[in-house]
Amino acid sequence: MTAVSNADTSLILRCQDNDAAAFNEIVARYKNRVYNYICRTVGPGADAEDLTQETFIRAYMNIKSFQSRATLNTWLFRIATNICIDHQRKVKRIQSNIVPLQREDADNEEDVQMDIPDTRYNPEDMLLTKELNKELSKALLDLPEKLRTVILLHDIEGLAYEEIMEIVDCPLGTVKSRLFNARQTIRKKISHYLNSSV
Amino acid sequence: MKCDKIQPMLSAFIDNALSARDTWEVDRHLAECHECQRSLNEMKRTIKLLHDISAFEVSADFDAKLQTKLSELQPKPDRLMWIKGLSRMFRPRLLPAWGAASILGIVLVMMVFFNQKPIRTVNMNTFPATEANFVQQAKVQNMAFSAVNPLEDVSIANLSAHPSGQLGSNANASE
Repeated sequence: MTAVSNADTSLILRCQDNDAAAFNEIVARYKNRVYNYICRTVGPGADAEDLTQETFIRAYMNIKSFQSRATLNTWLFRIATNICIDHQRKVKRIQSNIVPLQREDADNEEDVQMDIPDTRYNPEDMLLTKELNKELSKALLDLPEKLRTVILLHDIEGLAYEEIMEIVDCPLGTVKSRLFNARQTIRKKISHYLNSSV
Repeated sequence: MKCDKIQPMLSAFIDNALSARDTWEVDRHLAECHECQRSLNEMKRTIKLLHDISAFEVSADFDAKLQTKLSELQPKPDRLMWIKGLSRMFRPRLLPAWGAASILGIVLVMMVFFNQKPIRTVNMNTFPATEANFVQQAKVQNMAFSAVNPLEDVSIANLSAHPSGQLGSNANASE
């Protein structure tokens, strides 16, 4: 963790000295994590990729204002979170008769997941795993934004409580209770899978 | 502890984020409550499933597209330090504190304001050379002055602008 932070710090210092290669390295290091987080927040598709690009553009533009008290990880996820919130507000405003996101996105997601071979299970298990993935993705998209942000950052991106506190700007108790509520909601939604012991 | 107190702690219990005492309480409760044990196991499995969920990856032309956009841009210069300081001072987490401080400030100002009023009244009584008295004196001077120089516009306001009483002495001189 410290080694990663040190490497990130040196990359940022190089970026602040106008080293373009250093920024490319940051992009290479974080693009899939940020994209995955955005896909889980707004649903996969062209929008998610555009928002990921916007995240890196905003990071690039503001790299000189970056303060070393935050980690690069936290900073990027904070930018991505704000961009997703803005995007969702915009979508809500523009489309008054919007089709529920999860229905539209679940189809796209199915296509994406079809491309990922998983040889760990037999075909029946694979089908069940695919179904479960779909169910989980839907459950995540259905969560209220505040709960979803916390569970994505902690359980999928593996960020610590303290980092999440900084990203969502909430005290520790709030982060813990949001995480509990999010996990509890997801658990209830996939309880039939849990009971059938996948 | 009862189940309804233990259940909300299970999430933090899994992450080892409880205090030593709470961890002990949850451990003790779990040893004898099958319902909470089941909840704990289900939550652990949910977390594992979330952890193992398939990840999305960017398309092959992501880097090229990003490079095209970045080539037209330049990083913004560092913002001024005082803006940073201000934005940190007024971040949402501190807003309740600022609210409380503002209310306290308003109360203090009001207390000072209402405490001053009686002092002013006492001052007016103690020292007769105040505005009201001066205006009264000016009226008398105005009458005397206009009797001597009827064409000059000597209003009470003009007389009030000369608290030293020069006009009064002028009036005396012309008399």
